[in-house]
Order: sequence, then structure tokens, then C-alpha cells
Amino acid sequence: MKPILEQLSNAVLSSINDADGRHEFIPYVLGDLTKLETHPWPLTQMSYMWCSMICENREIFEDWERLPLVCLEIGFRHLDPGSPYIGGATTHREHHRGLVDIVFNSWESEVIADLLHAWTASGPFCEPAEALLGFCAGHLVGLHDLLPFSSRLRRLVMRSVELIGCKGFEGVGVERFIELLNHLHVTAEDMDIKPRWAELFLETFQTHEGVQRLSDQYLGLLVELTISIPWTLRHPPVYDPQITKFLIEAQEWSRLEYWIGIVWMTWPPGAGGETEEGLEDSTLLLFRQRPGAVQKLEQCMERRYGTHDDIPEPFKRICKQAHEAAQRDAL
Amino acid sequence: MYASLLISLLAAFVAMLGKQWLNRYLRNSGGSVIERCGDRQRKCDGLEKWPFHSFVESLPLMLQVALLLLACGLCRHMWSINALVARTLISLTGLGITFYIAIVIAGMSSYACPFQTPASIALHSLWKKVRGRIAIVWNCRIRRRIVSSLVRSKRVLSRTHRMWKRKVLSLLHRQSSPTIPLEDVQVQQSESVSILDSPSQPESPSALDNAQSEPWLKSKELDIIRGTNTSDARCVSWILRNITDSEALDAALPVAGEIRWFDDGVDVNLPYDVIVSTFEACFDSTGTLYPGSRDRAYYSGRAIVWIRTLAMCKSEDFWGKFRLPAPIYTTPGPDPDLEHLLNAICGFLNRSYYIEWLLRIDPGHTHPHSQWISNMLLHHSWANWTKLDYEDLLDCISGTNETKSTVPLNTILNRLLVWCMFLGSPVEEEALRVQVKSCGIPSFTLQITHCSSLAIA
Repeated sequence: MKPILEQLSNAVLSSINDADGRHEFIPYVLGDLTKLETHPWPLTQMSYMWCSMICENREIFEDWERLPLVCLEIGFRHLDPGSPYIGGATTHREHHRGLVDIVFNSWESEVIADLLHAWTASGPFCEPAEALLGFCAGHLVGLHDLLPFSSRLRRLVMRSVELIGCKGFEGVGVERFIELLNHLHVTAEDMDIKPRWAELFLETFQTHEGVQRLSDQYLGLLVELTISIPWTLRHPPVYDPQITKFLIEAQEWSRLEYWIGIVWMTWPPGAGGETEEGLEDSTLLLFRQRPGAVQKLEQCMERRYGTHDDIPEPFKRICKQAHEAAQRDAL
Repeated sequence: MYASLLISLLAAFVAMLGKQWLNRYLRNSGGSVIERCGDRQRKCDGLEKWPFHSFVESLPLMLQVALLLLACGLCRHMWSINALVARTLISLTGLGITFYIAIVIAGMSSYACPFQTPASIALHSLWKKVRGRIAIVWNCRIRRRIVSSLVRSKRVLSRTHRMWKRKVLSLLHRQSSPTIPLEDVQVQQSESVSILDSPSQPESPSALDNAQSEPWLKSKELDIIRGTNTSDARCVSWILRNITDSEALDAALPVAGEIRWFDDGVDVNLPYDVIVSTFEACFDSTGTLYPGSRDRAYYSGRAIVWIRTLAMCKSEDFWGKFRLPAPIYTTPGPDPDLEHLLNAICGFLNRSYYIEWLLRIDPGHTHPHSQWISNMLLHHSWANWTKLDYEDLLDCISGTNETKSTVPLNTILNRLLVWCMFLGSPVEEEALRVQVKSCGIPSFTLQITHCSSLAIA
């Protein structure tokens, strides 16, 4: 099998380079390869290389736009969308950028999924093509309005979003990006790199659109991510106190409950003086409005820090004040 | 005389032993027809491997020696009794010995001579060896002289060439760039060539670059394949030529369509005429298939097409020696595989049509038939790939590849090799011999998966 594929790949590449007319057999070759039941790894790397070569030499083919799509199908359709790892050595080249338009203009969800798989895959011999994925951002945000998402496409769009990050979507409009996120209904099981998602949600929520539109589901998820991720290993985005103020002014108490929890766990007072005063006041205000939040946040903090002793003193003090106030009210 | 008596008894003893051995050879081991045939072939090969024929041939030789000793002993004994009778016996013995020597010389001089004896065969082979050795010695001396003279002239030429090259380069160097040393100029030239060449060369991924092209078959594997093929060829040829049992024929015909009949070492009488007559006997005078003859017609047809394709691989005019049955045969009901095959027999008249026929994937075909077709396609393309015009081929194959049904892996791999040839990359002959081309998949995939899991870990 291996010598056959090697010889075939060399024959395909030399026929494209020579452009002596023999390259017209390539559609038939690709047609046969789509019928394969077993797909060894070299086929993935070969077909991905052919994509680039076809895009580079597009003028020699009569119907060139179909060929890269078939190449992607051969290389990536059979792969498990649940796993980003591949064994093949996919080398990303400049000419692969040409795939963006032809793939997204094909309106075929499986073909789009093939491309996203090619660019999000990683393994011992390849890296995700984050730079190339950035060119897909504009297409991805409107995709859910145009196509029904198959489970494979949904999974791969999520992985693409994870790699592109919130900043990659700033150019196409955060509002549309939030719509896409709300449509995807991402769960913890869908995440490959949880810290990246936590960062993405934090950044998105701290935008003007995000604080208003990001689904409550993601705030709950962000609380869980914040509990489970050791932030000491990563660099969280900078805290924006305006978000807390906005939520208080808008009287969004349930969202504020999530947010205050996230802030206490992500930016605990002591690290920077700026959050300390405003955060304590906001927390006290929240506890006054929603007395049930005290116990919830205490539980979250205990899960985050492991033991009650390790919880920051200011938080413990505020909780104590809240409990005393509740007892007074009860009397 | 006593020695003669003993040798005669020894000959009788060896003859009895030989009878016992032959009884064991004829014993039936049971199993299917093809198993029994295989067993027979193994025993037959064993007879050749262990020099059974030498034992059998030694019997008349022993009797001849015994006769000679008896005659000598009788003559000597009679000399002491009656000289006249003894002289008569001696002259008769001498006549007999002269006759025998004449027969041996006649048998040695010509292989076609009917008076062959073990001694004449042995002397003939000895003579051939001696003659061959003399020829080798003679040739070596001549060749050595030629080679040594060539080497001498080559040395002289290369010395002259180097001298002239040095002179021309130094002249050029002086004229073009007197400040840069000659070695630097050469380095710059080589660098500029590599830079110019690089954009046209496709970038190959590291995994492909690192993978050295492995031979299709190691010599040991090739020997095994050849040995099995030779054994099968002899077995099937023997069955088709000597056995009339229908079960044996039906078992041998499918194998006849897979044997490489023209390989080195296969020195059997190819039973092509038997296969063609078997195929023709499956149809009535109007060309309609007899009931119950479907499989025999199918497999004999496959063998016909296979043998002709192999002949085509061997040489251009060789395959024309194998006559085709008249293309008038029809199947009584829908039978895609057999219909396809009958079309092939007609298609041999037109090469382009034949390629189209071979390339078309019909979802109605059974997987074994698809695989066999792909093997035909590979051999046919290999035999003709330098002669086929790719533009004609493109016309032929348009629309042959529209089906989306899955195809067995081996079929696809055979077709991929064909595409390699159509794309201008020649395929090694060993590739044709490997029946199961997908055998490398599981180990390779496992290896890569193992690598990935290690990397992930």
C-alpha cells in the first residue's frame, strides 16, 4: 500500500508540474480514492499536498474548483471529528488559502467540515493552521444561518472557534460571533483545550455585546471552567470593572451572581488593588439582593481552593457579614 | 558368478522396494479434489527432489552388470572345462559388449536417438559439461584481453580529457573573472542552479521523504511466489490434460486463471486448447449457455482472458498465438459477471474498447470479479502503457468512474497502479506479482497510530 501511494503521489505531482495533458487523469484518480474503505495516514498528507498544488496550478485544469474539495474528502472525511490528532504530516502552504473561498462557496457542510478538520488537526507531525483559520472567521459567523450544522460540522466549527479565539472575530463583528456561540451550545465535553475556551468566554463577556447577549449557559460553564483550571499556569484577560457596574445598573442579578463568582476566582483581591474595593461592594450588594448566592459562591470558592482556609480573607469576611445580616433579618 | 547372483538378487530387492514406494505414492490422502491434486503434486515434486528415478534406473544397470559378470564368470569357468565352447562364449560376450558400446555411443551422440541407456545419458551430460567448461575458459581469455585493452584505452582517453578540461577552464577563468578562484565559480554556479530549480520541485512532506522506497518483493518472497506458481502450473496442467472428472476440472479452472503461465521456471505444456474447448463446450451451437455450466464457462473464460493478457505482457506478437473462441455467446438470464467476461472476449479485438471495459466499475459486479478485472487492467496497462495514447484513453474513460459504491481495497490499489502508469510513472514488474497489495496497511497504520499515541502521551 505504502509504495503504491508514494508512487501515485509522485506521479500526480509530476503530472501537475509537467502539465503535459496527463494531469487530466487526476479527477479519475481522485474518484477512485474516494471509494477507499481504509485510509492510511499518508493519504491524508498526500491529498492535502495535492490541494495546494492544484490551487497553485489552477489554470491547467478545466474544472479545478471541484478537485481540491475531492482531495479534502479523501484526506479528512474519514477522520474522527472528536479527535484533533492525526498521524499524517500536513504541511500548510500559502496556496491553501485559496481553499477558503471555494470551500465556503460550495455550501456543502461536509466539505466545510473537511477543510476545518485539515486546519484544526494537530499531531506529532503537524500543527493547526491558526493563521489560515483566521481567514475563515468571516464565513464561520454566518454559517449557521445558511446551513444546518451536522454533528461533525458543529464539532469542527467549535474547534475552529477555540483556535481562532475572540480576537480573531473582532474584525467580523463580535455580535455575530456571539450569535454563533449561542447557536453552537458548547458543552464541557466539546472542548479540546479548556483554558482556551475559558479565555474566549472571559474576553467575549467583557465586550459591550457579550455582557448583554452571551448565553447564561456559557456563564455557568465559565464558572465551572474557572473552578477546574489553575489560572496560575495561564494569563487571564484583564478585568474590566465596567462589566460589574453594567450588570448592577441593569439589575441582572442572576448574571451578576455568575460574574462575581468568576471574578473572585479569576482575579482574587490582593493581586491588584483596583478590583478590591469595587468588588467587595458589588459582592455585598449581590448578597443583599440574592441571599441564596452566598452559599453558592462559598461552595464554588471551596471547590476552587480545595479547603476553606485557602479562600481569600476578604471573601470570607464578606460572607460572614452576609450571614450576620441574614440572621439579623431573621430575628 | 556369485557376484552376479548377488547383484541379481539385489536388483530384485530394490524392485520390490520401489513397488512399495509407488504404492505409497498412489495412496489417496482424502480431502477435496484440489487438495488431492495438491497432495499428488507434492508427492510428484518429492519424487524429483529425492532421486527416485535413480533407483528405478539403477535396476536395469544392475541387471546389465550382473549379466556381464555372469558372462565373464561363465567364460572363465568354461575355459577350464572346454576351450572351444569357451571361445564361442567369449566371442558372443564380446559381440554383446560391442553392441552395447555402440548403443551407448549412438545414444550419446544424439538426444533424438531411441537407443538411450543410463550410460549414454550420463556420458552425454558429462560431455556437455566439459564442452561448456572449455567454452567458458576460451571466452574468458578472449574477454579478458578485450577488457584489458578497453581499460587501457579508457585511461588514455580520460587522461587526455582531464588535460584538455584543465586547459580550457583555466583559459575561461583568466578571461572572465581573474579575481575569483575557479572553485568558487563552480560553487556559485551550482547554487544558482539549485535556487532556480527549487520552485518547480514540489515540497514533499518529511514522512514521505524519509520513507525510502522499499522493493516490492524481497528475493526470498519472489522465490516462494515463483515456486508456488510453478507447482500450481504443473498441477493444474496435469489435471486439465489428464483428468476427465468434472469436479477436478471445476476446481482446476479457477486456478488456471491465476497462474503466471509464462514465468521463468514454468516449463509445462500450457493447456490453453483444453481451456478453450472447455469454454466452448459450455454453450450449445447457438451460443446459449447450457444449464449448470455457468461456473465452468465463467472460470474457463477468465482463464482464457488471463492467459492472453499474460501473453500480451510477454511480447507484442506472442499473444496473437492464442486463438479466441468465436464471440457469439450469450447468457440465459441476468448475470453481470459472466456478461462482462463475454464482452471481454469480444473486446480483445479492440484495444481501446478493452481498456474502457476494464476501467468501468459496475456496482452489479461481485467483489471477486471486480478484483480480477482490476488485475487484468493492471496487466493490460503494464503491457501497453507506452503504446497507448493518453488522449484516446481520456476519451475512453470518460464516464467510467461515476459510481459511488465502495470497491474492495485490492481493486482500488490495482487501479491506482494503473493511474500511476497513465500519469507517466512506470510500474515495476514485481508489483504485478503481488496479489494482495493491501497487506502493508494494518502494520503501517498501527505503527503511525502508535507513534501518535506516544506523542500524545
